[in-house]
Amino acid sequence: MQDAIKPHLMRHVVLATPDLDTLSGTLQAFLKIAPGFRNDMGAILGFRNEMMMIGSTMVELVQPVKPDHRLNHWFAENGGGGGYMIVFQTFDADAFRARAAAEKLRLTRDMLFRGQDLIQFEPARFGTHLETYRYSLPNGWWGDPVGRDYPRSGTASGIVGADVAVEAPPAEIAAQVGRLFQSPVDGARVRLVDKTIRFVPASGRRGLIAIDLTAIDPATRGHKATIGAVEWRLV
Amino acid sequence: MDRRTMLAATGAFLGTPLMAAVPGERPTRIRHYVIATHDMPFVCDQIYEVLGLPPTPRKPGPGVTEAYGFYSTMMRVGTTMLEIVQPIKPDHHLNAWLAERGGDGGYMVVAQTYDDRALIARAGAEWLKPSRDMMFKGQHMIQFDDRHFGAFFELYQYAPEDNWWGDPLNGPYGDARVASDVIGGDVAVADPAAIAAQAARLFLGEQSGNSVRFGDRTINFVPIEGKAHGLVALDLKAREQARVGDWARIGGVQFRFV
Repeated sequence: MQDAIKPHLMRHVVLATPDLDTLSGTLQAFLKIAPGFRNDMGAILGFRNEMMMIGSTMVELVQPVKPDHRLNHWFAENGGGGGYMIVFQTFDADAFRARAAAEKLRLTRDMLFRGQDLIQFEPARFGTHLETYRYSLPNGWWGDPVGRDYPRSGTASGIVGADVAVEAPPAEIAAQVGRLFQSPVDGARVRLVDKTIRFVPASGRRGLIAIDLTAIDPATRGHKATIGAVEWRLV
Repeated sequence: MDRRTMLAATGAFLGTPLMAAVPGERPTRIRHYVIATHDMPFVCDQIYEVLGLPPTPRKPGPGVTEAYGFYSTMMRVGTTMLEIVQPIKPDHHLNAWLAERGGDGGYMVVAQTYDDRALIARAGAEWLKPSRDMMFKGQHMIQFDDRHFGAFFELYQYAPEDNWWGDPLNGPYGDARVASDVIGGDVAVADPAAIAAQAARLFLGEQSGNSVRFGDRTINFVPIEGKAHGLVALDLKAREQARVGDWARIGGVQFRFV
């Protein structure tokens, strides 16, 4: 019953890039935000990253530093960098696994990572990588949105939605995501508390293609910029 | 019949516990583990990613094992090899094994014996008939059935002694960033205590409860849960202390960081 009490949350988005410095700089300019926290995990995990926070949502930029890292294959398939992953929070990992099994979905990750349950689906089905954690802390995780003093954006107060381009019928994917994450579905849209994911038909490119941000200045609503092959839209 | 063979045979005949090893005899060394799957690339990709292991390059043309009806990818973690196998033809025995088990899983534990004749003698003393007793690539292979030991246990007397057909010393293998070696695993069997005792006698291990230590590796015999008999977990030495306690389920096997 814990799932019913605590709905799933969309916690963070991940963009992959061959050039972290350039992507970070462009995003900082658009979001009017100071640099985030950099982590070099090349020796063990083969990539480095930068964590930023927009409202209560994290934005992670990742760059592979080892030639064998899978992100390099993804760049080749994707035609370069882009929106790579949406990360969620579940509150009952075993129940989540059971729902995934009932949907006959294969997991590309089913593991305990740094003490936290991590479950990930094949991007071939959902367009982008969908990954969920059951965090060991009630309201915190390895990105440490609570303990760290993340810089604030002068442009946006939060992330409220995302577009994911899929090859299967968008409404079919939305329905399945709704069942997995126990979230309400409206056509091709899935509502996750304060955020909405829209599944749209892939036209040449699939995956996380757009992010909606709440504009701090109402006059900037409707502004948008394509950064890291993702459309950042102020709404 | 030499003295060692005679001792083992006598012990079995009298129904008495056998000596685990003749003084000076070297214990079996676990060399590699085999995971069977219907989708080798899917399993390999997960292992590469989770262990931070550079993919093993594929040689052009058909692989060696394709003549035997299955695909195979070898990878190395420290001094231990992992082999991922996938049947090619529907009538290959791996398909029956996968169907019986209900999906991917740990199929085999491969070890090195230093005295094949003594191993055969100990098997006879245990009333065990090897499921295979043959020369393979010039090396004596002796295999024991998974119906008895949960997973297939396959032993070789390698020549040269410090390398073998998987070529762990000189093969095109990268180093895993996340784990430094595989130091043991769990094998699910119907009667863990009895099988642990027999494995210790047969393979010259040191028994402690339902676990058997072979040099620097330990196999734990555990009860079967559901249909998942066989090799159900591997223990990997984490390079980072922060990863100790983490695990990943890949190919029906739990990779545990210790």
